Amino acid sequence: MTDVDKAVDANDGLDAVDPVDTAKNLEDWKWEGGDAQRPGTMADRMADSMAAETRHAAPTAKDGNPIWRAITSDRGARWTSWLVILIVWQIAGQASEKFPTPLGTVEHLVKEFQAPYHGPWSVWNNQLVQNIVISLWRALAGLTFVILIGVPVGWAMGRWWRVQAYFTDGVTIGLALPAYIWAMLAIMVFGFGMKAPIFTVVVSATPGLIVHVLQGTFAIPRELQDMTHVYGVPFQRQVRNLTLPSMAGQLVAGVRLAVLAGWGCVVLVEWFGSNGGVGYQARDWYLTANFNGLMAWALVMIVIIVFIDRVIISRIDRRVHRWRGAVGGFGGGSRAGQQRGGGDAVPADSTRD
Amino acid sequence: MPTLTADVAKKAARNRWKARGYSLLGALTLLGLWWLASLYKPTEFELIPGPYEVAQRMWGFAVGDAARGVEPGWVFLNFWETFGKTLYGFAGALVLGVPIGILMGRFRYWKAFFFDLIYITANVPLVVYAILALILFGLGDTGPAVVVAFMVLPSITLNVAAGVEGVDRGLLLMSQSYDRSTRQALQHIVFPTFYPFLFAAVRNSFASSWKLAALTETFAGITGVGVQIGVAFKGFATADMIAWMLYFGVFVVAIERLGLMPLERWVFRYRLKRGEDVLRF
Repeated sequence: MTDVDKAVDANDGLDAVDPVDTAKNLEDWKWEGGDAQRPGTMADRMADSMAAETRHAAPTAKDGNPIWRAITSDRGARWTSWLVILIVWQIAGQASEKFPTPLGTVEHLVKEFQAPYHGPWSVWNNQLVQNIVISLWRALAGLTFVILIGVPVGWAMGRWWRVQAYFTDGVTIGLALPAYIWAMLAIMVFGFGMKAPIFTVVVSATPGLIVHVLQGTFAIPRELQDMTHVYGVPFQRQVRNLTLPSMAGQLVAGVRLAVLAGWGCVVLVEWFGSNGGVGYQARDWYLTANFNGLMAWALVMIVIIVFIDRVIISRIDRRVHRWRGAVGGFGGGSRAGQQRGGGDAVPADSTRD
Repeated sequence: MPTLTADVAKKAARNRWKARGYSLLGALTLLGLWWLASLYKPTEFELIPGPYEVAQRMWGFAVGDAARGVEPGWVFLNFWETFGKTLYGFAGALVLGVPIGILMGRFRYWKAFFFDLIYITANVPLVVYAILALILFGLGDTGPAVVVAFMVLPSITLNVAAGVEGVDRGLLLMSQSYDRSTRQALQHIVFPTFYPFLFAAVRNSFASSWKLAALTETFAGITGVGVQIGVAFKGFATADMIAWMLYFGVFVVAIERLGLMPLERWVFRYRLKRGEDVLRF
């Protein structure tokens, strides 16, 4: 029995006749959407464990050489790896005619930063910043719709088995379809502007979020749900004190996945046809065979998603989990605690587009 | 209480049929929405083809369509090409990722060393991978395989690392004190610990690796599904594109259900016998 089966059975504890058939189909969702996991979770856990090791590691007086100690420390290892990457990149760039060097890439970024967008140059009004703003704005608009659709649908799927059965096929297919074909179709149908990126982001990122939210609802302890029912707790309080706290981890995980997918979609749409934005710039420089420019904008794509993930979502995530940790996930013995338990060693990134 | 059990079983069966009905209803709703969208014609071009037209195209791709110059088995031919590249990519990722994962799980220095690199490869948007393949390898089959390897790498590495970290140190000590060789320790203690993690990694990244392979082919390929999709895009053949897209869904779901899941059950059948769930990891 998978976790999902168990969760469904747990939900059926008091109402044994609920059909579990859709749960059979859902069996694989643990894989496709991930079980209590998100991209970078493993990375997060490793980062946390490394930080903890650093805190608790007693300084060893035996390795007296301070330089050697600095090199073999965690920070030293990270700097070494960055240095190795940069050197390899520089050598690759110098060896091949087309491949850009890191220096050329940075130079190009500076050039973009110095070029005015419309009218006079300012720190705000230049090619680099304005194109990033355009792309971010598109991603934000798309993700708003993703969250507005994905969270209620996912929650409803967890709440009513009829809704779950109704949406199962759609979500399964949605997970399997590649985002870039959606992007091409959207451009053909909607043309330039906001509609194409929003459509693509909604179509490609929502199924992943729905799966996460659905699994989040499985983590709501059934006993407490029944108790709120018996004691007639008002809906608002239920949401605030039971539903949201139980689902918080999965919710953040789903949003994180959606943000990653959404940014990828926006950039794709801009590459295939648009009138501005990061992807458009990359395409533009590619068409003029300026590989420094192409690499520079590709770097911008990476830096922005890493920034959003590390600085914004990671922080929210840690906050959410600290809170959960304090409550103890409703106690390790409860179903919620068990749900959080096993089998969460897998980053689920299969809904990446 | 036999009567009660029978009643419950009957009711469950009835509800299972009901759920199937709702599932069907959901699928029909999707088809209906598609059909409605196909009626939308902002310009004189027929941009969104209806379900029937696309079904015809899909049929044509499978059995051949003489009128449109499509060979029989065209779709299988193209998917086979893409599948081959995905497999090469996976092989590359395994060859690179397993040693790195073992290093990361075993030594703290290497964990810190590879950490940022793995984290970034896990977060790079797919389009950037496609661009890199285009710059580095130009047109050809190498690019798609290499970027698939890079995209799968973090998932494999992190899972192997987690598996290796979870190795029972006590067992390792025991194997030492009983004078077992390193090879034996690896074979009987370390590898079995991370196999489940490795499988999880492979299955998790399978769908997205295929998507990336096709995308890279559209950018820089000469054979495969991606190229066909690119051709359809350039010719504004929306019906062809949707047909390819749906085939994509069919193949991904089919391979996961018919290939990977049974394989996983088979590999971990000893766990099934013990009553444990295979797919837990």
